[in-house]
Amino acid sequence: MPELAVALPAPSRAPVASSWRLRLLDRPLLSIGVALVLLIVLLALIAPLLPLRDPNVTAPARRLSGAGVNGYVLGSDQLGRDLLSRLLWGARVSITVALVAAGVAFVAGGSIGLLAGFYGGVVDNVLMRLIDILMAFPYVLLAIALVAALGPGLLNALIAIAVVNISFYARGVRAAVLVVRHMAFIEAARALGARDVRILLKEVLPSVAPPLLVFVTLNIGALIVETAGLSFIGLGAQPPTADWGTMLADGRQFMMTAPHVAAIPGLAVLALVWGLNMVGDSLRDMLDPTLAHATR
Amino acid sequence: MASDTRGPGGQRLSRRGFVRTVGAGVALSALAPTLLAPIGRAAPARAAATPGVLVVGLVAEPTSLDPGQLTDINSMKLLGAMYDTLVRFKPNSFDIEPSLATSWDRSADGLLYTFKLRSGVKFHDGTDFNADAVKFTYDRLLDPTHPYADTGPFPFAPGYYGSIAESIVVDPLTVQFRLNREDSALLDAFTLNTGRIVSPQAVKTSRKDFAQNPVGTGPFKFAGWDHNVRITLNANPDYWDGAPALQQMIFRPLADEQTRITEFLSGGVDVIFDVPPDNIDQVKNTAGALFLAQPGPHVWWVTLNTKKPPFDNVLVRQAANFAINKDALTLDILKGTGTPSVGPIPPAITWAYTDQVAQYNYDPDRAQALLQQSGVLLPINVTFWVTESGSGMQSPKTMGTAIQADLAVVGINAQIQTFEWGAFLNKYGTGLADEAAMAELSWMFDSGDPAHMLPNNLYGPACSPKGFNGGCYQNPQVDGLLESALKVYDRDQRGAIYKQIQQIVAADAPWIFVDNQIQNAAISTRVSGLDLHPSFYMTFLNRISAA
Amino acid sequence: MHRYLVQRLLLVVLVLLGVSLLVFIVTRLTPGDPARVLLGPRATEEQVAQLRTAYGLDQPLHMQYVTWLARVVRGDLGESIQLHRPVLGEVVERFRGTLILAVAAMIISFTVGIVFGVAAALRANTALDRALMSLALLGISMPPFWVGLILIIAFTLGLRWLPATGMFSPTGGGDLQDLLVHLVLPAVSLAVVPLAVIARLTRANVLEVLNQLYVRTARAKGLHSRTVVLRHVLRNTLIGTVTILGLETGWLLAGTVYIETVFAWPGIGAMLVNAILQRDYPLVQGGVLLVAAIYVLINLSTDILYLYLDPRLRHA
Repeated sequence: MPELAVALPAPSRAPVASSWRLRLLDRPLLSIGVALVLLIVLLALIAPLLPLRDPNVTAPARRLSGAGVNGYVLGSDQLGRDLLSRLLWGARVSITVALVAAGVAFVAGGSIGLLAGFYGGVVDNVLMRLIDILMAFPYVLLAIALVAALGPGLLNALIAIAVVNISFYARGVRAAVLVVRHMAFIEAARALGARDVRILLKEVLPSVAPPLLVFVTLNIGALIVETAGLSFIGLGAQPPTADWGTMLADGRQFMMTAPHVAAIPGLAVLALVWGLNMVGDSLRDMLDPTLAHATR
Repeated sequence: MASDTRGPGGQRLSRRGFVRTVGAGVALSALAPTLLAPIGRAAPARAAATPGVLVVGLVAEPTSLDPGQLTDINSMKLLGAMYDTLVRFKPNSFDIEPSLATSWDRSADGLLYTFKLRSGVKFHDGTDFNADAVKFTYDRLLDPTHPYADTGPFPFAPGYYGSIAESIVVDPLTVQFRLNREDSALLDAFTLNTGRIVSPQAVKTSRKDFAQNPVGTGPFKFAGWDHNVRITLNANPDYWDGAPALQQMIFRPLADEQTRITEFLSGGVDVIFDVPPDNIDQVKNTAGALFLAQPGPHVWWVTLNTKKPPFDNVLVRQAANFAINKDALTLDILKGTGTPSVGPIPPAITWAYTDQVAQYNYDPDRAQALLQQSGVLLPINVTFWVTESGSGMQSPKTMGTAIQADLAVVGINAQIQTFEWGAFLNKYGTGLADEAAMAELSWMFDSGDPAHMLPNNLYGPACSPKGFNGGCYQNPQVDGLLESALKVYDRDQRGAIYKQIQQIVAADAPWIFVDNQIQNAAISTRVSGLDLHPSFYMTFLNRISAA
Repeated sequence: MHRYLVQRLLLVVLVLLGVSLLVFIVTRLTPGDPARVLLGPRATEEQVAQLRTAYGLDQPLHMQYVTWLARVVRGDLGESIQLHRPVLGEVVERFRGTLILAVAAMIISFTVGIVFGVAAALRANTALDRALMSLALLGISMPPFWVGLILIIAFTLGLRWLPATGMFSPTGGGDLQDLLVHLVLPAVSLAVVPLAVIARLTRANVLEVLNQLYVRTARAKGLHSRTVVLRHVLRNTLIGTVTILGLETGWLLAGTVYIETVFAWPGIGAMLVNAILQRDYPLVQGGVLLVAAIYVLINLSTDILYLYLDPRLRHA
């Protein structure tokens, strides 16, 4: 849910890097989050190097085996494929899709937000109305309609998710830019005769970057869930490709007879998203302590 | 209010508690599914149900109760309760017996059918059933200038009854149909849901709302439709074939498969159809539940593109058939809800079926030998269209993936493209052409007659996009046989023609023949008299009772 | 103020027009059409063409859009192709189901969320605070459909306390108690994420307020802390809450899709997904229009409410 659009930390020019190391140790939340995310990403990266079974080889006679049964560490799915292997290989797919979708949404949405916030006036109005139209459309339905229109495949699911998230990035960036727009250093740059593009890139963007980083971190978790959701409804990766969403969807039919088939990817999603949220939260705290944990 | 300091000291003090809570949370959510699962597998108690009332679980909300409008088997399940046809199938068979028509005959040239109708039958609204009602029913379906044709459209009517040129009322209990061509499958077509007899009075009064206010001659009267919740039917004590033993039937749409099972196991519904393969054992092990299975006239196959390499070569097509392990598929994946098939006609249509055809038992070595013989360079990549869902498609993605795996073993690498049903139909209807080498499809022969299916799928001129012959299979001999089968009326003779077609088609292997679905149902033990009919319809509902 | 209202209303119309155009384009771009879906594999080319004509699908696209728009303006949303019933009636009926679910989820998430948030803020940096915030963090990480499945396994199949499907029992029932019993699991599943979000935001808002100068001044004057909290904190929390009300509504209206599917709840989300897959153009267009209209109007209302509550913004 886009709480992010509301509670972004205020961008500033204050240097932040100096006390990071100390703060890391002091924040159990951040440590756990980073550890969790790093662990999962690392496992996903080295999956090809690990002694895993082929994730696509089927063994119908040994389908739906439990954890530890028939030599499967985490059990097997409805076609007898190794769940551990599919989980790790699937991590690569799910994470890549989320990252790329975030990237596309970020670039597209961010550009719109940047332009709208910086130039204001008619440009802002028109762009924000277009974003309004996008936002008024129930986002799940837009994603589904896009995937139905574009055809099968993870790539198209990625495009659908990216399109649907553009509006959040546009609004977020615009809000951040609005805050920065009138700050002193911008006025100074203008006074010195710098061109708009230069100002955008060299002054606005760096100030807006930290809160955006928070934003992206918190959003990627949502993207992973959204991709899983699309597969859950049946519009995602192609067989035999493993991705967490398809695994969840496939395993759903067996919730009563073999719940581990859906439970395991579900937990993986939960763990990764949780980790990302922890990191995002902590980053936000570090960048603007007044926002969430003010005490004095 | 004390001002809390946020120094390292304050944090350290609560770190233990924090870590503990977090740890507990993670552990709980990790264990939750597996901890609770064993509880889920035990047989749940069944709620008390009302005697004389049968609750049926449907796979979706019915789209309409106007027989002419319907195209989905799910909605059709209710029609047998409220309407009758001119003729119907006997219990557990595809032999025809009288229903609203008591006798019939056909002119020598096969172009005039005469039906004698049952007397003393009334519609639920009190009006008489007679020849006018029959004429009204079929004219409405087929004549676009009929004053009530706008209560349509009627998608299936032209396909099934297109041979009817005119319906004629001879006297109140005699009706005739004049045909524009010979159609020996017409009698079977008269058993179909599309042709159920409707009350002219009710259609005239309700117009388009007739779909929400059905009136027929059947054993149950429509009592109410609570959208997406339930449809209630009350018994018709004056039913011509004997008053129903039930007082009421309630149909509940439960779109989600798992929730349907849950409702059945907890006693919320008394009957569900098409139990998912992996829940069959659960049903069998539940006290108070019965599992019914009945071979249905259904075929599931993979169309091969006969116009493009590699499947333009019959050896490669045969190899593909040998490469598939149908036993593993039907036993392990379908959990016995299907049996391996050997041709385009299902064994359930006994009069038209033969297994004296080329057999493709699982033999990867033979497959590889054939591929070598064919000269095709391996490994070869082909595109395989798979659908997400669809009526009669069983477990389309799982089956498609299993087939892909089997083909990979012999060197045919199938790249699967999945489409949801609407998009899939569109692609298939346009034809495999240059885009795909393989596509899965299935068919339910609810008319019990191959004449309604084969010409659409294996007839030369029906090559897509004209028809649904997606792989553009061309065999003039088969074409000729299909045409002649429509002009032969003796069932044994027709059967012989279809058997011959099967032999040719099995040898030509334009498809990978996969399986025939076994229709199944889970019913509560308080229900008696409910039998599955091979036509997939719910029939003889007046004979069902519920304790 | 009046000028602002008029402006905003005009924008509403504009946005809705844009939405209707967008949904029209996207659905028509989707391969396949209702004629295909209805006929399935039992179709020759001419039968499909015949059916298409019956539905007016052989007209040029812009004509189809204009015809549809002209009817909408007169209040006629057309007839559903799959369901053979007027779209308006169907959409309103299904929306009622979603509304009940969404309101229940909103009530749960707001009440529990605010309580959690206030409690956490008042006991900031204690074990309670950390526990609540950890739970909240976990909450926003859980996919709602997964929560739903877990709850079904626990409470329907396991403990057998609560039903897992539908809005009412099939035979009898139909009263408020029946509805509430069926509402529990889906509403809780849906409420988890918003609850967590609200808890976190409330905590942040409350803390922010507690640290503002005027609160300290009031306390220095000797007022009871509880009075201070209630009067100032809640009022300012309300502003923050109203802000996310609009966003949450959008999320709820769209996010009910998965919950409706899992619990077979007769809502508009599941209806629209099915309509898209069946290519039921009139139903998709009508349904999306209604949902978008509600979303936009709610946003408008919250914006106006926001203006009313926070005088600082009136002259922005």
